[in-house]
Amino acid sequence: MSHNIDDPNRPAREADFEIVARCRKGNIEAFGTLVEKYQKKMLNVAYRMVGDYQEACEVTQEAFLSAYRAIKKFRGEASFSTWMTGIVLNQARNRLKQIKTRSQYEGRSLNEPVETAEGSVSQDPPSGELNAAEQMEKKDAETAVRDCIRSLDPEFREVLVLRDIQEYSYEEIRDILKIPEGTVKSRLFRAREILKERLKRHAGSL
Amino acid sequence: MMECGQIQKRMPAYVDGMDSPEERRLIDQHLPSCPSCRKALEEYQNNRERLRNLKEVEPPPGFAQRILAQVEEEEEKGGLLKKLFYPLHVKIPIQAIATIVIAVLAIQVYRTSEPQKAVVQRYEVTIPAAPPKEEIRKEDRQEAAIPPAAKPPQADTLRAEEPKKKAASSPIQEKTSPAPAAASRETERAEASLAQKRAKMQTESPAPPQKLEAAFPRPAETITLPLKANDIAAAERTVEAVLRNLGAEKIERSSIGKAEIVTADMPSQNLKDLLEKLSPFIEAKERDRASQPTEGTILLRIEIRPK
Repeated sequence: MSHNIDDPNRPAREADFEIVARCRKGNIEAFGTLVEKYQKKMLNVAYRMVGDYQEACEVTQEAFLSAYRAIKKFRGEASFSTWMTGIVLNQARNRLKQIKTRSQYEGRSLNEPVETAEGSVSQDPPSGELNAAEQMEKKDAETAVRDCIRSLDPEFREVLVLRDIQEYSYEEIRDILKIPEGTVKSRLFRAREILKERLKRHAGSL
Repeated sequence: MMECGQIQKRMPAYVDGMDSPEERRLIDQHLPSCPSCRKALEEYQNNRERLRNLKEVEPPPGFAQRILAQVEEEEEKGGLLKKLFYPLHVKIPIQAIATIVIAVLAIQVYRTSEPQKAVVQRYEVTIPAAPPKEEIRKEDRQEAAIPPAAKPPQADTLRAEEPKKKAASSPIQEKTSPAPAAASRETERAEASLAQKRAKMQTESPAPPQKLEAAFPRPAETITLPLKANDIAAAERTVEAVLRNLGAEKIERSSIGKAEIVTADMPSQNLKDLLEKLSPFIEAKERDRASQPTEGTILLRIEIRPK
């Protein structure tokens, strides 16, 4: 497929691999470079997965820590970004399980938002281009999408976050989730179907 | 011609531009004639845009630094652990020290608990063997296993009996306690059963190890001598004098009712002399019964009663 032949990420990938090589020799500064470079991307993956800003920060932090511990095992079969995203998703899954147990213990329904998310929303930098009414409208639409993503099963949420939000290629998603490409496609189809239905229902209820 | 279901199943790949040219051509052919598939495609595209346009969150200030600080902290901790476990390039220090400590402790515990175990063993043998107080007149003396300090004041009256000796040398004494015949028969029966029990217990309880033998010597042979005298006090003095002459030790006196009891430890080879010297007070049959040859030290119990 065309996207494989001319990998636009190739130079970045090679640069990362050099940095990783330095990390493996115990160079913490080199690892710092990688953290600086990928913190935002990883935080956003985590945020879309767990749906809460604070939790996402913790997940990202944990993920970087375990990446550092495991950096000797990273041989560069995939890009650092892909490998790192896999770690973030693992951490996010664990965190979601914890949240589930916690909310069961506290007797809350899982369909409710885990947090009111107002705090996390306020973390979003407001875009200066829109007027107040437009901002409100946009926020409503965004809230709807966010809630719908959050209501999906984690396995559907993952493919949607990776493909439609982070725009990873099918091949990269296959490497991250360690599932066959056919499964990536079918799962993505199911995820988009469910999301479509839920957004429709959401719009109807307004 | 593909059906709408099949078309829509391929739509995610179509939207992403990830389908094969052939699939793409089929969908392109189908769409103009099918409003529902066109609508579905539109929805997919819209939703994808909505997802893509979701605003990204920014990391909190100092996020990267915080992560690095944690990494550094862990690195230092890891270094410390490495120093603890690998200074000799052999992973022994902590494990080896722990093993030695446990071994030393185990030996210590075993040592401190050993004498206590021996005492407990002794009690198990002697205590149930004690005859019920003074009701049983006929009793042999056995040196109690309890240290002297722990001995109760009336220990003499609670002496345990040595079964194997019993048959040979314990004369039955009923003269001074003129109980009815029935009662004495009962006493005899009780004693017989007690003796049986004791014998059983001795065979059941394993022989104590040699080490214990040193700390708690086997009880010596016990011999009871019934004496008859008109003047009990005078007889007692004579007995004591004779005992001293014959090298007896631990001479003790006590009285039960009208009888005076003198107990002492004496070398067994002097037993014959003792019997001779006390012959005026001892009945012939008692003398014969008591003069069994024994070894080592014997425990004497001389009971002086009025004629």
